[in-house]
Amino acid sequence: MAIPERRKSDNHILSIYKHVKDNFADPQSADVNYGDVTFDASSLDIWVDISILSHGAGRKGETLVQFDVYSRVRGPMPGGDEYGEALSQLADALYESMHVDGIQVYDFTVPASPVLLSGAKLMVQNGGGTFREPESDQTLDIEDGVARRSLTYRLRMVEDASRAFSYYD
Amino acid sequence: MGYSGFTKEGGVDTSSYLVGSWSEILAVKNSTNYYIGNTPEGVLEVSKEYYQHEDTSFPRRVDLVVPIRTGMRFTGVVEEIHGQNVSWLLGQTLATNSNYIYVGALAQSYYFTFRGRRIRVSDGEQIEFCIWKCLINSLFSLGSGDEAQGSPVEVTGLDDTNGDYGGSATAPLGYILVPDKA
Repeated sequence: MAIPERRKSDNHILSIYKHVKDNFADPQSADVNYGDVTFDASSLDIWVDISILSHGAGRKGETLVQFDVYSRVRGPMPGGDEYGEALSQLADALYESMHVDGIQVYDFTVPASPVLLSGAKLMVQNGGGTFREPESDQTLDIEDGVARRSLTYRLRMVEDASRAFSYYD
Repeated sequence: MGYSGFTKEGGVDTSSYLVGSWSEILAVKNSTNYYIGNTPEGVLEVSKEYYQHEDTSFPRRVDLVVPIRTGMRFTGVVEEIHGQNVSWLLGQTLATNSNYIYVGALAQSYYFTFRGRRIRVSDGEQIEFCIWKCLINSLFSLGSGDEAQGSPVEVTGLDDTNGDYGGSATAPLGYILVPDKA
């Protein structure tokens, strides 16, 4: 039996990208890499990588999304980012974009014209049960003059919260 | 051959699952909203009691069920311990303007309207309840610990058929609003 559109991981990934694209008010005009493995950041001063770490939503599990924010400490960026201000501003803007109860899921069968799937939401809910908050938000070590902050979000579908051991549709 | 109506296995309308808590609770008195704040473990109850009549067959079988009592009640824990909430939890005014809240004196019953709201995440619609005419009937208890310490609260709805607090003959206790799916 075909998996319903609202449970397809492909639709989930593109819906997450769409949500970020539509809601991310970027103060730094940073480049955002939406999962492109050929993305080249060598000439960039500040950028964001979005990665999907796991695909459990719609499968009685959880989808983990990671936002890696990078900023060159002393690169070609005017004035540099020695104190990580640009990095923090970008991380806060991403946090704001994810500060929602749920992310709407769309049907991307025709990628250029996604169709809203009524009632299908990826809940933004961390492991402690709190809505709108990240699972983790960490500052990582500076490598090759690039500072990095990493935010992870836990997403699951409303039906994944069912107490039934399994569901069918 | 079994019944032919079995055609929908498992969840039928999975977008109707409700997750989370009663996220906004307020008491209303004289058209003023008093925001109670977080009420962890908040539970809305609509209770009913029935009388069951049994016939004289052997073995006896229930042949009539009659509702004889119904009520609305909200229980939870009030986390924000300030003058307004403490006064209210002690069954006194919400519009307190004194730092002292006196305990033990005979006082008139303090009625209020009680409302709560939560979000249905799947479509963002708001589910609400309202109990028109309420009294506090919980004890006040403030413990100790590392987490925010609250007092238990129990709010019981009273009959408001005559509409003093917004009720009516068709909704004498209150209502639950469950909007159509967006």
